[in-house]
Amino acid sequence: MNDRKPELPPAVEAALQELAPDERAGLAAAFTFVQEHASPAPAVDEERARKVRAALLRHVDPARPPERRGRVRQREREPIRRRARQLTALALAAVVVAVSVYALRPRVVAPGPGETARVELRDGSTVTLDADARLRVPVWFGRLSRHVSLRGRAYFAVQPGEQAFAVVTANATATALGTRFAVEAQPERTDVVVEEGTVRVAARRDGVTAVRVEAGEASSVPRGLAPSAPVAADATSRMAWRLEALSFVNVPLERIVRELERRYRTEIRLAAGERIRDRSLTYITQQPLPLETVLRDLCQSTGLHFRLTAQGYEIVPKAGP
Amino acid sequence: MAPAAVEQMAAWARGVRASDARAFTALYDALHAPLWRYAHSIVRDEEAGYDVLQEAFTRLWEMRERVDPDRSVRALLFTIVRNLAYKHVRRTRGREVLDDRAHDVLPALHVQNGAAERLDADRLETLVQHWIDEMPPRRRETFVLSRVHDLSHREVAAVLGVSPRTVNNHIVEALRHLRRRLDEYPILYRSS
Repeated sequence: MNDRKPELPPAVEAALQELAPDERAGLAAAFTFVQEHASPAPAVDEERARKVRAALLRHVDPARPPERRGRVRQREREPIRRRARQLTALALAAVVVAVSVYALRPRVVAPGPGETARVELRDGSTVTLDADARLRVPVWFGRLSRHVSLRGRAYFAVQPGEQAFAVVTANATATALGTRFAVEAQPERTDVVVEEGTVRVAARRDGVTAVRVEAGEASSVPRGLAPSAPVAADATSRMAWRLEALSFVNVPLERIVRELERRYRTEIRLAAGERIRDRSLTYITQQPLPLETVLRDLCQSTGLHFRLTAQGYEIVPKAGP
Repeated sequence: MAPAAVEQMAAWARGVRASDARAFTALYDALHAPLWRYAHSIVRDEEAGYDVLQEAFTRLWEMRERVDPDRSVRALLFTIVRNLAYKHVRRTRGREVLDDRAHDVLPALHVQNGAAERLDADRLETLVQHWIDEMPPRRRETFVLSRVHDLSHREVAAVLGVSPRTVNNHIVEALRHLRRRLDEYPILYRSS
């Protein structure tokens, strides 16, 4: 910024014009402070912006007629010998098979470590995937059926539609018409939390014993068993991860640490007595913070101490005085 | 904006009106970055930001005959981006999240702020962002728009559909709020 007085944006400058000089100076200083310390605006990805530009150019080309309706005229068939024709047919069939295998492969979305991803499906429904989750969307999604498969944790906002929207996990199926709900598909069990509307939850092998989970309820399907009866669940806090923030309300330290391991993809050894492990803490952040900041906060309020190890982190009692 | 730049925008607006693809792309080249950032600040998703950007320019082209070169085409683009971005947010997240997201979660900072605590850059960002987020929605939006996107207060007013007077009031109130917050955290504020 050098020594020059930082320039104010025109709208701010105009607003400050009417104030008394000393208040103006104070507010300008506040503005400058905020400008310098607020999170920087993200940078546009010029590569991506060029693609948008190219797409727009195709759209605006004034030489392009409003709609292309012409039909490709059929080429007259040349006389081909029978043998050659058979070979061509065979090659063509091989290409068709290869292309269909390629074209019919499901679309897979899997956010990287510590990331979340948002996917909009053809029917307008959206899926928010937590770190490590994996969503498979068949190519015929929205045409033949509305089935997706899920591993890990995801939040669904389903557009109403004629076909039922189904999330298939290793051991359960959650079916909805138009609603908002979250599914956590772990190898040993599947949890479904409903925020709005109703979701039908069934074990995959045994679709008979289904339960209807209403808004504000949750059901759990252990592997090989039927879904549990719906119980009241705080959908807001169970879906807070979607905003990429941390939200623990009266959660034992041990469980917080396991969640941090999952979220930050690292190992955290908790070498503390049972009393501390079971101690319930409330810790809420508004946006994602670096793991070390989180650990520092947790340690500060529990009288513990953390250090880096070869595998990840270790939380230990503070050395006595 | 310098008068020359205003004139340049107006020239591009006339070009777009006359179906000149070059004026259209020049406008894109000049404004895509701030428009994307603005879209991103609302939808908070990179890819959705580009979708909004593309859709906005597509809309501009479709309505090119109705573009008024005497009015700021930049404000027009920001308006389109704003509408599309909020539409996207409504469709994907629901209205309540949009307005109240910031108010029910306090940052960890407030739980345990002590004078002795050293604030690193990350946490300072969280704190400043929290101060911005805790403003009433319209004021916050006015402030954000005036802050990062280099629009004149008339343009901000046009984008938000309010009078320039209201824009001024919102900005002054926003700055007073920030100033109060800063004064509550004397350790942060070392004016030299």
